Amino acid sequence: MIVAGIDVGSLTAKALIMKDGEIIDFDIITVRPTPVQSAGDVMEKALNKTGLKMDDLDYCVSTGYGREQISFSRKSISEISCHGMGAHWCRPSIRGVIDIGGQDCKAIIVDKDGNLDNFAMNDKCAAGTGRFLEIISKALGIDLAELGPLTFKSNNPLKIVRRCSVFAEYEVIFLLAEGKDVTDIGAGVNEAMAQRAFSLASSINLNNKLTGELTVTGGVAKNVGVIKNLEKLFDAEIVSLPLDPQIMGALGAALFARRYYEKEVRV
Amino acid sequence: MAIEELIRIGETIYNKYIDDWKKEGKRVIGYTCSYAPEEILQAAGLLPIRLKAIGSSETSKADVYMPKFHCTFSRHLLDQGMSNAFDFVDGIVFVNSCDQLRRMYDVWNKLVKFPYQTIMVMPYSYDKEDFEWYLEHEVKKLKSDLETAYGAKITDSSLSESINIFNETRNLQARLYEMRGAKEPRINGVDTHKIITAATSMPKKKYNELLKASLEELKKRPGITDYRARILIGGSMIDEPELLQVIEDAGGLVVADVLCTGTRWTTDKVETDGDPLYAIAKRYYDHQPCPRMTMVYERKRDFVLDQAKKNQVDGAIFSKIAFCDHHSGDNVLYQEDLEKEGIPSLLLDRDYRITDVGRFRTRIEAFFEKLGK
Repeated sequence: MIVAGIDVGSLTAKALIMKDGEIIDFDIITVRPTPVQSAGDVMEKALNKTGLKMDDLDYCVSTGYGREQISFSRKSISEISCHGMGAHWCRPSIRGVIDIGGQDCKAIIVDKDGNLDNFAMNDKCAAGTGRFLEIISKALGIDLAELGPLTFKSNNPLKIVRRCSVFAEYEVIFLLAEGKDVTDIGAGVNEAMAQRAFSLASSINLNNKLTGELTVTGGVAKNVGVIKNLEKLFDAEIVSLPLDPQIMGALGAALFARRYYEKEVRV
Repeated sequence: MAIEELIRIGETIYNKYIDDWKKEGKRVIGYTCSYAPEEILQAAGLLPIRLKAIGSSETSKADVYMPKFHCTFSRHLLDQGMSNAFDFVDGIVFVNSCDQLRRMYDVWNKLVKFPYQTIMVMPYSYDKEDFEWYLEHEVKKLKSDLETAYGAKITDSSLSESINIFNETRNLQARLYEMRGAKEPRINGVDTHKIITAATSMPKKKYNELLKASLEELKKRPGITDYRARILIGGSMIDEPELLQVIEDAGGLVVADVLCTGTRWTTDKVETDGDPLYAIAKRYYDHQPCPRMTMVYERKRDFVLDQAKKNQVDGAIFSKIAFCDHHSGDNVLYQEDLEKEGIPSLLLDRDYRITDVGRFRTRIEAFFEKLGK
């Protein structure tokens, strides 16, 4: 049985192919002008490496913003379910997933089978997303990659009070003008970011109801300072995944494809 | 077909029925809240039209006067008022619905002038003195102010006539809701919402005729069976059913609501025996309350639970317009109380208009997946 998952996001498109329950290939590309083009290109790329053709796929499920427009996928599933399912497959003891991407932040609770139990997603606002870290690191004049480690260098992280990204940027500029240390401001930013994700997770009681392991996915998973602060807030270890966290959506979609294939096609 | 006609009217601010009314030399009066006693407006010979910011795509004029953290319904309405969208009305009755609309009225009163423009005060609590005060100072005053402003005489018989027409509207709408909430609904949530909204955009008498014909047409329709989940919606007011459209595009079916622009308007009728003005005041004061009313949480909760059970919903979606303080409190409480009955809820923040459909769709689909649908 060969199944595929395809995840067309706002910045990247991902495809993952599974054969008999094993991942045989995956690929990530930056998005093309339309979701249909992105999906076609990334799938082509993934298939090409394995020597398979589109016709060889028994079932394909799509997820991500462009999920409904992909003609070769038979079903679409929200990326919230897919992220939970993908992370759970990587480590079956995972029950909580915090996904912090470029424009979204999601807190996800899954059951013992990886099915969605509860979730929260931020409303239309850049506060608490990767975009927020981008804006702030620019204001601090440092590389996005340099921001995370500041948490470990600072002895006195400064409090960033404003929730809104725009106002938080003013606040940071003001702190700089006051002559405050970039290290302490950066550490404060990581703390504020973690606090926001923690608040979102608390709205579905993820902090108290966690019955297994917790992981963080999405680009912000690469910020060690945010991770450190989240561990402190949750008073729990944030486990890392054996695969690129970016591929979790496509992996989850492939797992759903396998499930639907068994349910609908095989019988 | 009557159904299509009402659906179409439900998407308009101005339409041929209002135009015909005006051509006869008669006047139109706008209002902004379901707490405005429409029966009295109609008894004065006016056509009551609820002001909506349908199609409003920006708030740049209003933003000069109202900050970004002011509710977007108020801002869209003010912007439309400043853009002359409501120039077809001869007067407006506002209500102190919430702080946001009250502050908006202050700005409106200075910038958008209509020959007659007032704000009615509805008390926030249910003490006996409050009702008496409301009847004396607000309802009776509205009657005499309208008589002065429009040279009309509001009599007991004109009040009774308008009570009967409005009660008939509510009866017919209740039947529409029954069809929507049936095991195999004959109409979806989006179309129902537009038909209900049409009642606030045309003369009720004509509306009743069209709705009666629509109900007959609906009886001939097959029931809808291919849906993923039966959904109740609640929260801040909705004019354009964009949120319902996202829910139904994702495969859900809105079979119930607890909106002021929906079921809550239809539920309570005006008593027909006794003094008509008193009966109207009583109905508006006592009807199924908005979250603005204090110390009645149990009544509001029971209504939500009743609607959820009666219409056999699988889940509820409560949305609030960002910064709406009344609904932000109640929505969370409803979620907890429905949860106890085994009905999960999804809470959403939105603007008056929904433009970023994708983000809503993701959460709504995930909610259906969580429901196992």
